[in-house]
Amino acid sequence: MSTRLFDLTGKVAVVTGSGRGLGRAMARGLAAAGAKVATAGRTAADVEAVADEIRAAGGEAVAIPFDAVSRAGNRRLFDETVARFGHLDIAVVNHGVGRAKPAVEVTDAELAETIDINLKSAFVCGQEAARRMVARGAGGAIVFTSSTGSLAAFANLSTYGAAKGGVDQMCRHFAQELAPHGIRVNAVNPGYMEHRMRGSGKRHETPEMAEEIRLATPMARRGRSEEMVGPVIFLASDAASFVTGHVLPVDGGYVAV
Amino acid sequence: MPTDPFDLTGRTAVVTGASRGLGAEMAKALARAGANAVLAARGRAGLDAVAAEIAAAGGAAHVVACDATRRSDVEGLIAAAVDRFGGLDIMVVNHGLGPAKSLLEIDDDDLDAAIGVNLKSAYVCAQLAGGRMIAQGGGGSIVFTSSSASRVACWGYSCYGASKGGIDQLVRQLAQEWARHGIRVNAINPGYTENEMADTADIHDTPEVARFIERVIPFGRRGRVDEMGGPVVFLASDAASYVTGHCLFVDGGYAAV
Repeated sequence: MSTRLFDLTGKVAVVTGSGRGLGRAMARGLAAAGAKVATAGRTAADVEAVADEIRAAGGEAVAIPFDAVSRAGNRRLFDETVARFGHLDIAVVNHGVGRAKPAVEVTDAELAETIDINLKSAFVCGQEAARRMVARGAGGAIVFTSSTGSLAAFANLSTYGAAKGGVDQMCRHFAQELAPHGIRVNAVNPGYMEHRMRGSGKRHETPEMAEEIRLATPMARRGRSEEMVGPVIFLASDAASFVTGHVLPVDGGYVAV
Repeated sequence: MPTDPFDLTGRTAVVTGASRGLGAEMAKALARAGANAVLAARGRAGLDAVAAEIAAAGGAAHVVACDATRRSDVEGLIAAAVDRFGGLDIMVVNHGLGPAKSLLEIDDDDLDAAIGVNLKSAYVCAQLAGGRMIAQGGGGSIVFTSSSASRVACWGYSCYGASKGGIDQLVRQLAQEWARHGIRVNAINPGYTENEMADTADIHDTPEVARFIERVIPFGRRGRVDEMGGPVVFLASDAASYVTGHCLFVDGGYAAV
């Protein structure tokens, strides 16, 4: 038995927003598949704890606290990763924030925060990763964490959905421009997950929401953070060597119905 | 890795159209990942060669010569898989043909062939496989080979594209209907690929198409048949445990542009 197509031994990966939730699971999963991982996020204690978990499991990791909305922060993240591990093969642009509010009540500050973190800083992060991959000339893989909110409407998530719709299209544009450099660019689009995203409040934990998820999701349950790992390893690995510009929902069938 | 989510050891996979091209590569990839491979196609000679390759690599393969367009043959195929390996876990509905002609030249035979083989017989294969999976207690993964021609136009593919558009929708329908039985249903959608599909005309071998592939498709080349192995193993495995109702494009970015 061999699943070496999915093996990431020798690869270097950065995962942003990896202090908790989906990013934490992805960072641990990539490391378990053999990658050296830079765990990046806002809260130093969180990303350091995840790096410790990876090392305790026998993997290689470095924690790099960073501010995703800062250009300088993104540059420093990738520079420090390359300084530590020698190069960059995989960038998982996963950080984000999701505030739920009726569209008519959204303030300029809330609009700016959602777009800046989910779309603008994802662009900058993907761009800085791509610059280093292009300069090295050895290809690479970029994976954005988008959302089913890019493909279907969810109550009170208009700003978030708009930002993630932008991420999907950015993924296709990046894929087209970077293909000549052997860099593949794809997205994973989680649906309703057990982990509550930063800013999303308690709205998602009501009995009404549980009933809505049961009715609207063919698999009739939330996804677990660990269920993002396989899709990310697949897209990051040689197993997906002809997959680029693709948006992969990991949603229990939510957008199919 | 402590537990490998891509490992298919102990699972039984049926692959139709497995005597050559994409189907042969998918069967070999599934077997490499540990699955017992049941190879189906009309011609025994091609199947035996693929089975010999799998056996030489240490895998388990069983050959069933059958006509996937006949319900009774498909019933026999599934019975043979269960008889030989004890159950059915993965069904790859891959057989198909591609009459490529201009819309005005398509005759009723072409139409019957494309819709009858690519859509109707794929439906029957999935129906019988799903029925078996449900009867044995649920759980399983069905993967259709669709095509990027299900979503984007491709020269000469008016009836082929229509049949594959039907497959994509069938994926979503079955994903919804069978999620309660723990059966996931997905497709891979290859773009221009190096293999020769049955009945593909010279319409795809022109300098014009070569220029299109080079200039328009982000990767600038055809996919290799072995590049379909990773995606099918991913969708068949627990690594995709929360992925259902999805059409995964393996097309070098073709559908993204």
